[in-house]
Amino acid sequence: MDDLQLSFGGLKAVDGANLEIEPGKITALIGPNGAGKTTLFNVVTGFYKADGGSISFDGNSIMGKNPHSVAKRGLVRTFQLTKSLGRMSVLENMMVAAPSQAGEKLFAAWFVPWVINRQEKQNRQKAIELLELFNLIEKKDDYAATLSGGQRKLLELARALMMEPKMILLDEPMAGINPTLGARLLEHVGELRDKGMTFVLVEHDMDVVMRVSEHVIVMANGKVITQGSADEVRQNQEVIDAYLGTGGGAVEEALDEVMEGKPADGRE
Amino acid sequence: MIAYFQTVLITAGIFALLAQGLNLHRGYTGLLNFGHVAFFAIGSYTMAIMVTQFEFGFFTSFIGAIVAATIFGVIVALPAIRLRTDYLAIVTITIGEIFRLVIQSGPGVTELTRGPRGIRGYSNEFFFLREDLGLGFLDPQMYLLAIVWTAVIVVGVLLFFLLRSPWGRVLKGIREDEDAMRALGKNVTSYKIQSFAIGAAIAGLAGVLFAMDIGSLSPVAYLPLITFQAWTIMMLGGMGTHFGPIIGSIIFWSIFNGTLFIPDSIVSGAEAAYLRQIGVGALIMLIIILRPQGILGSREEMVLDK
Ligand SMILES: Nc1ncnc2c1ncn2[C@@H]1O[C@H](COP(=O)(O)OP(=O)(O)OP(=O)(O)O)[C@@H](O)[C@H]1O
Ligand SMILES: [Mg+2]
Repeated sequence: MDDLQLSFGGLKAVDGANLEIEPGKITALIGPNGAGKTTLFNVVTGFYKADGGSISFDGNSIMGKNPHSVAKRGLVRTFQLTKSLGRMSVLENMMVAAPSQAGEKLFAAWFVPWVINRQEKQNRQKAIELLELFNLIEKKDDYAATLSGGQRKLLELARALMMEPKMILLDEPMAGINPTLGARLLEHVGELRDKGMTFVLVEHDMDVVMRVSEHVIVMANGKVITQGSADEVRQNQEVIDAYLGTGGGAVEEALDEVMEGKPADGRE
Repeated sequence: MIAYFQTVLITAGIFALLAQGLNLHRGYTGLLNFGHVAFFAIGSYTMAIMVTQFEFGFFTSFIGAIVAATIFGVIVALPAIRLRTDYLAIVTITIGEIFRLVIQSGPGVTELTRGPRGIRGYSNEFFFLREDLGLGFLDPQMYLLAIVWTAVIVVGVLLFFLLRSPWGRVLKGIREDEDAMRALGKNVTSYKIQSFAIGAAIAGLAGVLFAMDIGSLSPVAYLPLITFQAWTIMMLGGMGTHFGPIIGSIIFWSIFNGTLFIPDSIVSGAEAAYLRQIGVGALIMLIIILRPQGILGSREEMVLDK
């Protein structure tokens, strides 16, 4: 994407973001609270209209496209504040996400029920496998609204994977997830990456970032201030400058700031 | 006595249809439609105008009425789908009223609708048809009753299969969180229009049957009250349930007409009419206090937030 811009009133939430996501890799997007990470996701996935710039995915421009057409092209996102379909069962939440369902066409149910039945069977199978992986299988018949906060995060991730995306933007997927399960999910993410899926994740936990990501992008005040491999970013002077001001503390300290998401104010 | 039950059941059937359409909008798609009566009216009027002024046969006019209601559903949906919740409610209630006033006194339009004088004489062919259908042994009221309830059952079955299919699941998803559905690659706008159009078509069908029941049309028969009655029926039966509109409608109209059984020595006919309205108001309050999920709705679902 090139020179992406979005303002809310006077505030430049995304200000000339320029970046490229490498396919088949896990990229981490980090930066303090209010840096514009979620807003960037919203712009890329069509939920907000950018004021300027360009975005392309898989060789085609997706600038100004509707959220659903972006998602249909295989660029899928999750929400920082989870959106579960509360009065539908966990399994229904999964099933509804399956891509290209014949039965989603109006009146298909009257004319080609057998096609629908076959697809439903396959999708249910896939949904159940994912729910098992995400430790949600016992909850499959419960209303999604009865899930705990962490379980909703899990459901949202599982639901996004149900769509078989090419690229997936995860907004703090690990927030509130128990570390053991989190590790298992990251392992699964790694496996999917090996199969060619591209991941971008917003994450405040630097341990996770350093462990899983091959590429790290640092944002602050709507701008991409640096990017590179995890180690490069760790040593980048600009990161330190951005968060602590010039001549600030040690690298580790700078990263601590990023990690805790405190705003940069350049003073002690 | 039999006449009483016939009347109640005919009205109940017509309003069951109306509530089935509304239930598709509100119960399954989460669209706050408060202008349902407009679709009802367009069904009645299209049929009546086609029969009386253009001398189409009943079947053609019947199809025409449903097509007109469907198209009108799409037209209403186009501005409405950009709006959410309360705003949609305000716009739809306004559309309903504007529509009625246009029928009543719109320049040019009244040449077709005959304004407040109304239309009559459109129902002969419909009632003669019963010979052809082999229902000649039924008196006209019984025949209408049979047709109305056939329509309720057919619509009920068709909706049942639609709503338990993946298409219906998408509608429910939109009811729960439309942004989540967008992120899942569903064209929310298109589904809302589809829902609007089908619900409107069902209301148009109800409108045709209503016209046959009342025998002559006039704009005063299409007050917003009709919309509110359909809402009450849907809530009474249970929003988002398959059989709620049907059960709700039977109970609603039994209570509504129950005042007929109060002897004249206690309340006079005119007082009874007011009593009905009071009864409906009390019923709405009772539902909301005692059983907000309706007769068939699930309490568990009711208390969940999103
Ligand atoms: N809809 C909106 N209207 C107005 N301002 C907004 C809106 N959405 C975000 N902002 C502002 O844009 C800035 C960037 O917000 P954003 O949510 O993108 O931050 P973030 O990097 O995701 O932060 P966090 O790590 O806390 O999730 C913030 O200052 C925020 O207040
Ligand atoms: Mg955020």
